[in-house]
Amino acid sequence: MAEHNGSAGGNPQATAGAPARLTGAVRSAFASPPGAGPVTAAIRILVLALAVLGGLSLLGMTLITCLDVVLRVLGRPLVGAYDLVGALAVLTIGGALPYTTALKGHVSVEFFLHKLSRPWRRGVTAVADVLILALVAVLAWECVDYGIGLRQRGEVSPTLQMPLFWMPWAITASAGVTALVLVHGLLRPNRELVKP
Amino acid sequence: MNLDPQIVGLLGFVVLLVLLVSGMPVAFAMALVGVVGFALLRSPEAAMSLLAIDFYDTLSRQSFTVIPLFVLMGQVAFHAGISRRLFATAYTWMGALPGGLAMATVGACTAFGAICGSGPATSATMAAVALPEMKRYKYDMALATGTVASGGTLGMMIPPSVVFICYAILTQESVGDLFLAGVLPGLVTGGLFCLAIYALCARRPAMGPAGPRTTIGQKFAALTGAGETLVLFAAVIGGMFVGFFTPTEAAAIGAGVTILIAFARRQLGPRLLWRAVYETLRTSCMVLIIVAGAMVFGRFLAITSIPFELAKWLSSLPLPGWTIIGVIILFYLFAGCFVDALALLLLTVPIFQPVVTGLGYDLVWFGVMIVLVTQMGTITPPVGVCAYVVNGIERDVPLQTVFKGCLPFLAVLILAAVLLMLVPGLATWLPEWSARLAR
Repeated sequence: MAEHNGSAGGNPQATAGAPARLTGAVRSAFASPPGAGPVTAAIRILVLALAVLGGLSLLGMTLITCLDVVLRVLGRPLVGAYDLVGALAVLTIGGALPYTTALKGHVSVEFFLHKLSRPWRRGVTAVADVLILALVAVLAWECVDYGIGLRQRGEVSPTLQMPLFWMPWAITASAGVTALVLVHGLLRPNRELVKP
Repeated sequence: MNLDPQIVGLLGFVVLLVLLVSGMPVAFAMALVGVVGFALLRSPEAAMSLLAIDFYDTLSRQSFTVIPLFVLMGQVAFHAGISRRLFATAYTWMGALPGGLAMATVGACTAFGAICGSGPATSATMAAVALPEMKRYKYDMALATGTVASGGTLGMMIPPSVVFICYAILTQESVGDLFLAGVLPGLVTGGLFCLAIYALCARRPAMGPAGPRTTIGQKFAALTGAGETLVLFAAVIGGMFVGFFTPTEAAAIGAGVTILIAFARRQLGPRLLWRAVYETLRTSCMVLIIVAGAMVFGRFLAITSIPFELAKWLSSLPLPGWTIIGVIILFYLFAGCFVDALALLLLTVPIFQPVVTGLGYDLVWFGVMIVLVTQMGTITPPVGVCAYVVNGIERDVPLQTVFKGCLPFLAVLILAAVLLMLVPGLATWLPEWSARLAR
């Protein structure tokens, strides 16, 4: 799996002045690198905003499921926990898709690609990216249609009766920003959009 | 135009192979071939709406949230330094033996695997903790790095395990049964790793000099370092086995309690938590998008009927079942050298599942065998992700030294696979026992 290889270990000072440092970290994370044009900066903000949404949804999903278990022990399970977790799951992974794509975090077989010369490698990667772009565009388009269908049929979640149509549209937004990331990668192959 | 589904299916495999070799992410390659293949055999409209339905279904399914939640639990444990305390405990118990530090690393990996579902994450965390110590005691660096890379693979076998969750999604087997099935093989493999280290260091003591002796009192006092892991494992996995939690709830409780413990110990602030969240997003997205791609590809495979024809053909061969299973295992071993373990699993299990069931083998046993074989794939060149992770952290040690250090452990994994073949009960006893208890 393409996973982290950062250093492990706790940080005893981690909690000191945490909110201020967190705000600083968020501000610096959203700041564009020097030399980035307005379009790059806009795509970068979109990618990071969706990642933040995904992160908050992940924490929300954890909190809701934990609350549901605790309240169930107390005899009063959280009504609609199942529906909410499903909705937050879409936002979590939907939010993460452009971010993961921008970080080139998807699993691929790079062994053979690295055997090619640099121009060939760039060409092959560009063709692959165009194909992915087409796929992601179809996904975005079809999810609009799928959402319209859910809306027309008035489909709602089983417990909270929450409308479902917006969830495929959330995937559309995610796929749309992913498409922008891919276009940016094709036009500026050497420029990193976001840092891990 | 009437196309032969099997010809289109075979062409699909060829195109998929070309796309994979060209470096296209596995998830998108599978989805692309799945959509185009489905469009050729049914209709373009049906294929395109299938893409939306499968992605929506994968991303919104409540039961799949078990993946990000278990990944979050492992990430928080990783960032909060739980591995450091586990290593200290194992070191107090085993450090004085020849190769004791390496054995302590395997012990800590086994314990960390009980709260982290990923092999590379376990390797990464242990590399940062154990390698400096082994360097200090002048361990042979091939042995040291090989131990960390191979020990990390235990995280894939010992529950919770992301690979088992994905296998369960594909085969409709119970996540709980698969988790239980992984316990004994994981412990046996860990024990065999320790034996191999002992044998190596007994023959050549310079490879792993013994550390200072500790008293019984120190040993028992050190057990507190493993307390939180034990509590987490008992609460999460225990709660799941006794039927108190669903796997998703167990994962959420695990993530929540790990966050609380880390905050209470002042080892996790909002910034580290956010870093853990970002890493979780990346890993979970990577996994779930492959699952979605595999779903689309699986639909195409189903209409080509290739898996069923393959199963029929293999079952009709005048060969004993174990030879066919052996060939499948060899295939995984070979392909695992080039393709990521999880991606390989998601790509191939739908093909081999009918073969395995057709030959009368238990799917839970097969799942354990596949995880064992994919463990091998993560420490074999050219694409051994656990070895890469260790090399990424310990830049002074060349990659080929890490791979060389993994060789004895690879032999142990092969031995474990043979053991599992000869004694299938290693994987099936615990789930069967648990089912009997439930009745």
